[in-house]
Amino acid sequence: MKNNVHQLTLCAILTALALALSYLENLFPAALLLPLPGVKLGLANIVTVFALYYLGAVPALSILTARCLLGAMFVGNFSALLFSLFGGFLAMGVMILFHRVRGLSIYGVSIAGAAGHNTGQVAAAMVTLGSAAPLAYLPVLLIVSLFTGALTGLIAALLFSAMDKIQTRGVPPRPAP
Amino acid sequence: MKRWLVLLLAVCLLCGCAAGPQEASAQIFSMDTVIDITVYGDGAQDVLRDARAELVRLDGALSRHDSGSALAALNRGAGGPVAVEEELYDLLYAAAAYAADTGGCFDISVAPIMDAWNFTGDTPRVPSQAELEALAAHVGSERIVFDGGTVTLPEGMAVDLGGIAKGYASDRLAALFAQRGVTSAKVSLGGNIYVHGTKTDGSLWRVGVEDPNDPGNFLGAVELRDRFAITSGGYQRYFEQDGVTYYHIVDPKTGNVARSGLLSATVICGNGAMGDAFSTALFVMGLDAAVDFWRTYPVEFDMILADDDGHVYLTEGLRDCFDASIAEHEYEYIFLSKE
Amino acid sequence: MNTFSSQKNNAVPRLRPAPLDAVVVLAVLVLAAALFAAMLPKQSGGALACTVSRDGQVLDTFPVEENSPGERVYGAYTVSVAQDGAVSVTAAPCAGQDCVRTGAVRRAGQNIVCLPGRFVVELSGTDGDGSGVDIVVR
Repeated sequence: MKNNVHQLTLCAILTALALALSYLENLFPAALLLPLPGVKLGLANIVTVFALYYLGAVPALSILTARCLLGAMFVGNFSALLFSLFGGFLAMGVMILFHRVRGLSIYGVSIAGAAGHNTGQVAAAMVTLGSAAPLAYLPVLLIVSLFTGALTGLIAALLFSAMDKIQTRGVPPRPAP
Repeated sequence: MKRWLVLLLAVCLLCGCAAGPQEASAQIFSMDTVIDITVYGDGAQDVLRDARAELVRLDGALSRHDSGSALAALNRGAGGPVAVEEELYDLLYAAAAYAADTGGCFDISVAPIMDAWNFTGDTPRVPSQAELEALAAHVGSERIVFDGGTVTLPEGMAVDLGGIAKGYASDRLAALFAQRGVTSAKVSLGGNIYVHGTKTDGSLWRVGVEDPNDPGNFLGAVELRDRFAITSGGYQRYFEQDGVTYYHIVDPKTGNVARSGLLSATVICGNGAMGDAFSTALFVMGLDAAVDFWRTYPVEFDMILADDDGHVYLTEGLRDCFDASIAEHEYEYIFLSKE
Repeated sequence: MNTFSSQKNNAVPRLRPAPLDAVVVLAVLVLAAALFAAMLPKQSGGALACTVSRDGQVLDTFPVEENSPGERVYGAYTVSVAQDGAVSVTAAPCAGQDCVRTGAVRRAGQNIVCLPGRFVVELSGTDGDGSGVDIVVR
């Protein structure tokens, strides 16, 4: 039970963090790359990556869903929900598949996730507009995802290192580097 | 480091692929029309040069108005046997056969009647019924005598291959492309289409079928490969007199403008000369006779018939390759089955 | 009730870049390059363009845009662009006037031909509504 409370608290904190990050993202000029409202770089994926490794797929999905729904409520438009759902879930799905692959580091998984996120956003844009035109932005966004993915991976890796030092209950064992 | 170099190389190679294949195209004024040819792939220029030479040769051999042509010589010699080369002999024979098959709805011996109407000239006119009856008496390619190397036209008959020559020319270009290993090419002989192979990206050619009610728009598009598509319609070449529109498709049996209730008849098939002849014949026949003809004719072909009442009839073979979504106007599309 | 998965089954993150990561990077790059390559022809096609030629010699090429109507005169021929971007031949010296009667063309692959004058107006590139026709049977 104590473990559950611990996890629940962590989930809540992570959801709040993810929401904060997706708000922070609005400050980045993603609209320059894909001039459509609702498109984001995917910095909130830091939380997804962390939660996936730290808590597992199901809690990570719960956090993601909560983040998307709450985020859409804050922004108050349906297309934003569509964008974050498509992007978030595609990133999630890709990372769930990849994070079990031995030999892939947190960087590889994050990059794959970021690529999935951007692909999902473009898919959402295509659905919203009912046109294939946004597909033209995908190559550029994929290249961008290499950087955002690497950044996400770096931050998540730093987070794990930090957590290692303040080792608390529930942290999974980690082999020495 | 090496890994990244390999990666960079792979990306460069991929971008290189995007540069696209070789392409050569030409616009040629020949055979009384404008011909557009585009050939893709290695050696496209050479193939295009040979295609142009072939068209010039055919124009010289098959034109009725070029007094030096073999066809002009045949017309001058009407009443007696004239020796003709194999190619012209075979084409005349095929034309006579199509005339027989279509019950005379397509007939190359309609030439004197067309001259009387003078659709293509500066001063088209409406001939009198008496004049048309007199001229129609000389029409009937079943009376052409084929005798090995010679062809005999009855006295007073003249033939014009205008209704089949462009189709035949597209057959010749198709053969040239096949012989030269071309995998992608498209040809328009004044709107008679032949698409060879596929597009360079491997997809089918999208052939727009012009809307006879609004020539800037389409009835739809057909996705094809290695097919000829030929339309006959009264909407392009016509003149008006006393408030009546006279267009250039004439019923060979009466000499009058063919008013069958069809606005256009498009044939899609694997033989250009046949498609050319049949598109005219189907237009002259009208809907019911055209459908009967399609159901009973032993050689497979597809057709698109647009009537003057907002209906577009398509044969069942087009069900999966016809796209009506690009049509600007509302039509009722009806698929015909052989049953 | 425990709604969360057991932490014991969670994967352990590798915190330093691993060789296999390069494969992911490569895959993303290849995907981006392939998509880019696939879309190149469309981009180079650009908007709808009109080419006017006489006897096979190109006289003029101009982009066809909506809301920029106008007339262009080539000798005895006049080519008009309407408000909606439709292109037509509105004056021709020949007796037949076939090209004037052809009416307006709006889409890539369509053309207007005056045979006696060997005067051709043709549209190329991509049209706004994306009919995507390669060639027109008429």
